[in-house]
Amino acid sequence: MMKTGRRDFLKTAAGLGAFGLPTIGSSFYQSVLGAQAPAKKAKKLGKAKSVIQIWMWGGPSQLETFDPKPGAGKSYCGAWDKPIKTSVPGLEFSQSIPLLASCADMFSVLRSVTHGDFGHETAAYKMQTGRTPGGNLVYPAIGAVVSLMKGYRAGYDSAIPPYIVLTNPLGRFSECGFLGTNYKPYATGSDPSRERFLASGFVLEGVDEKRQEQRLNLLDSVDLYGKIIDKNELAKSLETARIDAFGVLTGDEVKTFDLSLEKEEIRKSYGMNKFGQSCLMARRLVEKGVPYVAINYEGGWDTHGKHFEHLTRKQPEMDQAVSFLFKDLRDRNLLDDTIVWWGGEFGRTPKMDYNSPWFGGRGHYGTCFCHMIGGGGLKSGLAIGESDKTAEHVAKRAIEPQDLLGLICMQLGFDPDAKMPNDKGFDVPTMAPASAEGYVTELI
Amino acid sequence: MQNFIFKNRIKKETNSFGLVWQLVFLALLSCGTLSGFAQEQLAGPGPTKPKGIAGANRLMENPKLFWKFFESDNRVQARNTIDTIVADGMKIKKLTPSPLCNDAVFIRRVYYDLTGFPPSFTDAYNFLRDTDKNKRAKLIDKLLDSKDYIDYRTMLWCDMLRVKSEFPINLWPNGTMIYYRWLRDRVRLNTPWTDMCRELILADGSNFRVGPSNFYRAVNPHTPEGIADAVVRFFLGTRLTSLTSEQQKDMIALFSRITIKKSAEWKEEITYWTRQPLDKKNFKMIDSSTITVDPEQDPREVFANWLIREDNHQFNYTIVNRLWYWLFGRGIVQEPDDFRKGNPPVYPELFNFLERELLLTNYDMKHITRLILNSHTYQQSSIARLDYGDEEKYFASYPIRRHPAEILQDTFIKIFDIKVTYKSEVPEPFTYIPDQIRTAAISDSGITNSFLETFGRASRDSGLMADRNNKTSQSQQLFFLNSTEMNNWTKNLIAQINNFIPSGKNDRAAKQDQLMNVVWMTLLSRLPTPPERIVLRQTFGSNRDWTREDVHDIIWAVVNTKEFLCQH
Repeated sequence: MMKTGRRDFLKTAAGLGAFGLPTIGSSFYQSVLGAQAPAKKAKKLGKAKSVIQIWMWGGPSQLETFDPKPGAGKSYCGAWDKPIKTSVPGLEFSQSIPLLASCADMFSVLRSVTHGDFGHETAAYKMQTGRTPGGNLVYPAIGAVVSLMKGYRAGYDSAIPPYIVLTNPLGRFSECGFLGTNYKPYATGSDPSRERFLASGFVLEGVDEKRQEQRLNLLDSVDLYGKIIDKNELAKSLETARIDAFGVLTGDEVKTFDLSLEKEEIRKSYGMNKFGQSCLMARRLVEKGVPYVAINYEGGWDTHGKHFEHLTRKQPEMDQAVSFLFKDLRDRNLLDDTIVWWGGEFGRTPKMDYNSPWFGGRGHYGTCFCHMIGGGGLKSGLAIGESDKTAEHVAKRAIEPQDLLGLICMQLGFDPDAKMPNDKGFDVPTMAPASAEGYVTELI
Repeated sequence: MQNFIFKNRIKKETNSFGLVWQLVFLALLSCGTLSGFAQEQLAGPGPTKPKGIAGANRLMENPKLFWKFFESDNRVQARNTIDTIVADGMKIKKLTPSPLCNDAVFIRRVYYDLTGFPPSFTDAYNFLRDTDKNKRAKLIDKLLDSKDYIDYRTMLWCDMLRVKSEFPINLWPNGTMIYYRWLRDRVRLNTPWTDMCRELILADGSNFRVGPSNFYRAVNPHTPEGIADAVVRFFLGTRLTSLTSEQQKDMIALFSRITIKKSAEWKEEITYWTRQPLDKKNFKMIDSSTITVDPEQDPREVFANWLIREDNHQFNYTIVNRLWYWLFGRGIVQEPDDFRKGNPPVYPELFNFLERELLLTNYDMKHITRLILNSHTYQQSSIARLDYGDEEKYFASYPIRRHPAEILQDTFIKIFDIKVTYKSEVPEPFTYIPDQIRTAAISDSGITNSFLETFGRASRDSGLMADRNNKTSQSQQLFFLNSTEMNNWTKNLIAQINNFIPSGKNDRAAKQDQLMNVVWMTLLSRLPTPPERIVLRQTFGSNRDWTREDVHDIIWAVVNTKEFLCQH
């Protein structure tokens, strides 16, 4: 159960026309609730069940994806200045992602995401937590927040952990923040495009089921001391964790990780590479009800040099896998339940750098960049926000990280402004208060 | 140029400790001492030998019959003032203290608590054979003087002082190194608690040149509130919010004249007192006394003088409680950084006694630790007489807890001869980890790996004791039960074990006994009990030679027992 005490108070306060609102420090409350909500105006919460986050680690270029600027000239566009039409009239994407263009009606693009941070780590922290680094608290990433709000506390009872990273952890931050180890993501390791995907702890090579069963029996009979102390609290929690783990190993959940159960044709449609098969794995996981799957897509996006060469090599697999993920989710009636969110910690400098040592590259750029989001009942085929002619600045509707993350919270059915439940006693809202422009409710 | 992830792979290789004891052990073996030793050990206390698997099962139904395998028959006694106080307290609580643990449990416990390693096979063997009545006290002295003790204690200090290069602490790698070295020297020299505190409070200068000057820098952002909170937590074991609002304000004011400024050197920062006078002269302290700061005085100096006064009880209690916590996994006040009105000590007299000892020995932290280690309270069995109601809280049994992440990793490195890789997501140009530096001795908590993260190493983000997470989770169990890593690590031990098994057509039963002895001594520092032997014979058959896979399964099973995973 979510605690809504303070929310109720605020609603009442707003209803009575009291002036106590600024205490929460939320411009959203002031602009939306305070100003135009004389009666109880609850947020419109969605019913999405899961999130697939495609984390473009390194920072993908906005110009070569969802915000091309053909009019900006060669010093901005480089070689690629012929955007293509998409399945949505009036919406154009970069010429390098034709497959995503063909299904642009299934998602929306955000063209004015901004936080002004140009360092990978701090920008990643902002993009994943919605908060500014510094201060005494390290906040949990959105994945940990979702696993808190939609995981075991909320009745999720699968043996598959509620927050999964394919395949390696997202970065240097302990993504659970102050929430603690229970909300850390489970990182599978291995590579789903290998003949056998060895999800760490789930699939063990060289030990068959029969032998594993013998081992567990043996363990049960040699754990002498464990039996003596079985009333001890620690022993009990170890036993519970062990029984849970047994459940995983003997249950059907393990099969989720077995990609050989998929049709060859489907596997190929995603692309027989690590990222493509990770997208397929992500679909299999949300199919089983896992609330949050992050695909950590490393390699090829931090294009300081050889920008176009890298994109020529890397973008086709991305284009293929992400577009097919949308189609596959739709064909399986999973798209309305599943938010697919694509983006990195920042974008890239719109003006090409042809000087030494880059010779045609783009630097880090946090002033204005693109994200993409679709599914989960969100409106699709839209472009929210605008950048200016050269994609250097926000022209219309700045979207700060928390505006986007707050939207995800709302669409998953929980209030981003409510107190984040935690056993440390911190009185903090689930998501940072929205910027002046508010959570991206245009998509609801 | 592709520099999108700054990843420094720091490879660490550790030599096998195995070889040394293998040779020693082979020598012992050739004299045929182990079988004699085994008989000697088994002939001691213990239930009558059960007959066959049915007997073993019957025993399993009544675990009390097993207690004796882990407890002493009281030939060894450890009694000091600590025990008198604890015993008096327990009478009131109507709790029954557990008897002493036996030598095998003791050596494992004291090795883990002081060095963070399990005892080697040879150490355990020699200790169990030793007939000296004072062998426990002697072992305690030996370990308190070991290098491993210094490494392990330094790690615990670093957790509290947030020794971390990167976000959110940002000491930077060479700040971390110099701070770490300073702390390690304090442990090595057994610097009195008061001296250590004075140095930390008064250290000015460069974060890269004056180790303790990082105390204030490790509070990020360096606001007076943050610093005041760190000060009361570290030196007085409490939280700023537990003080009265007047005390809070005054504490914050005292630390409002510290400035940290950049120098011309990249990332260097200088900590100093601004010399700007405070707005008032008198400040209320936590014990309701008042200190007076003259305008030309450094307020930190006045604070430090108040802090280390002999009658500053909370200051004294904080350190004895912390030393106690490090040996029991719980404090006389628990949590040890949360002294406040509503959280009284379980045995107030214990504080009085330990404080007296502390003052008599000029704040000798090793002395206090030694005193605790030689008590019955420390050396008692972890098996509670009743059902673990309040036993651990009142130290009526030795508290059981999971080994910390670094210690588990070190255990695997030591016993299984594995290679471990760490990584740091940011460049660590000043960090080089030579071979044979153990995990617990890594200065920077930003250098890590997924094992350490899974098992909840201290993040050092807040400096709270709760930064370290020794809880259990399903993913930890999956790692132990079913990961490729664990399967390979345990496989590594087969060859070592087989070295001890005489080849040729020896007596099959003797060979099997030998194998079980070696596995149990290596992994649990004790010999297998009769029921455990019966279970294994029943499982693998006493009339056949056990295969490599069988041995692997036995090792795997023992590693997965609670006895292996827990400090007990």
